[in-house]
Amino acid sequence: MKYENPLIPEGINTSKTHALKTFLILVAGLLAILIISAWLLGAGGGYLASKIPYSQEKRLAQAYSEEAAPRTEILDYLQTLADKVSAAMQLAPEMKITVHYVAEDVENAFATIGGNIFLYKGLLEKLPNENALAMLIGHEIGHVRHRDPIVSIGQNAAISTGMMLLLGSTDTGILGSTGLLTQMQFSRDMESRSDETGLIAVEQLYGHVSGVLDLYRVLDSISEASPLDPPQFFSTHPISETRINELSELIVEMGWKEKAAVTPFPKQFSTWLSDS
Amino acid sequence: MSFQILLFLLLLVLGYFIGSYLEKKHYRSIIKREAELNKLPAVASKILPAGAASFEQRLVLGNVTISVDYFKRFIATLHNFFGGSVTSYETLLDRARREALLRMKSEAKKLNAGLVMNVKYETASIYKGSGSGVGSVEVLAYGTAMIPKQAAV
Repeated sequence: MKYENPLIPEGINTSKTHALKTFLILVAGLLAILIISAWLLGAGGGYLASKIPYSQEKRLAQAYSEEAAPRTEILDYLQTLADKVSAAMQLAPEMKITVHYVAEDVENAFATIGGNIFLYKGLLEKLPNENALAMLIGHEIGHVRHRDPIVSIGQNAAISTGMMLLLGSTDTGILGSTGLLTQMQFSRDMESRSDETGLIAVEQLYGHVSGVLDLYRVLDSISEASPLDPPQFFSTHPISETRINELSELIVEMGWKEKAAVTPFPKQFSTWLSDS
Repeated sequence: MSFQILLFLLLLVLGYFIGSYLEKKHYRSIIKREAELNKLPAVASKILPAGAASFEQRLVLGNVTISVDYFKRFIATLHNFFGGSVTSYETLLDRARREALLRMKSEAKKLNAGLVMNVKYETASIYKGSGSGVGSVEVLAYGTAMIPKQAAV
C-alpha cells in the first residue's frame, strides 16, 4: 500500500479577516454599548433621584452640618444675602440654604445636596459688586431649587453601579465616587436653567438687573487668564458669552431695567476677605 | 488610572506588533519544514499494511506549547462578550497542531521511519481557569513509527 500526505493549502483553518479589523469592530461595538447603557443609566438614575423627598436629601447631606464653621462677619453677610435671594425666589421653606465660605484662593463656587452652597474666597475677591454676588448665589440656589445636586448624584450612582456590574470593577464606594463630597457635575441645561432662575430672583430682589452680567465677565476673564486650566466653575458650564447672550435676551424680553446704580459691597467686605 | 490605560495600550500595541512578527516567522518555518518532511507520510490509519512484519514499530511524540499575545487575548475577551468565532485563536491552534506534527515527524525521520501510523492529537490548555492569566495551548501529536528492520537504529 502506498501512503502519502498531500500538501495542504495554506489558510484553510484560519480566517482571512485582518485582526485589526476585528479589533476595531469589536471595540466600536463595546464602546457603543457602554455609551448607550451609561446614558440610559444616567437618565434613569437622575429621574429616580429627582423623586427622592427633600427630607431624605437633607439626611444624606448631614456630613456638611457637622463641619459648621464659626460664625464670622463674612459668613453672616453671605448667609443674609442668600436668605434674601431665596426669599425673592420664593424658595420652599424646607429648602433652607446654608452658605459655606471657603477661605481658599480657588476661583470657584458650587451647590451641593441639602441646600449647601460653597463660595470660595478666590472668586469673591474678583466680584465687583453685590449684584454680581447675588447673581452667583442666585445661580447656585437655582441648582438647589431644581434639585440638580441630587439628580447629579443619582445619575452618577446609577452609572458607576452599572459600570461596576458590567466591567467588574472593585470600586464599591458608590456615594464616595460620585462627588457627594466634591463638586457636582451639572449638565449645560441645568446651568442655563439655574442662570435664568437666579436672574429672576435678583431682579425681584433689587428691582433691576444692573451689575448681574458682571459675574459672567469676571468668569470669562478668569478662564481667559488660565486657558489651559479653566476654573472648575467652567468644566461643564456653558461658555460665558453664550450665557451672557441668553440672559441679555431674557432681560430684553422681560423689559427689565438694566441701567441702575449697583449696590456696592459693605465697606468692610475686602477686610473680611483678607482677614479670613 | 491614566497610567493603567497607557500601560494597557502599550501592551496592546507591543502585543500586536511582536505577536504578528513572531507568528509570520513561525509560519515561514512551518511551511519550509512541512515541505521537507512531506516525503515521510503520517496517517491516521491503524490497519497495518501488508508486509508489516518487516517493520519495527515505535512510539513517536511531538509536543509544543504556544502562548497567545496580549492583543489576541484582548480580542478573544471581546469575542467572549459578543460571541462569534474566536478568530484570533485560530492561527494559534493551527500553528500548534502543525508544529506538533512536524516535531513528531522529525523524530520519526531520525529513526529512519518510512511511515507514521495511527497519528493522534491531544490538546490541553495551560493556565486553564486562571481568567486573565497567560493563555497557552499545548498540543501533543503522537503516532506509531514504522521503521524498516534493516534500517532500525
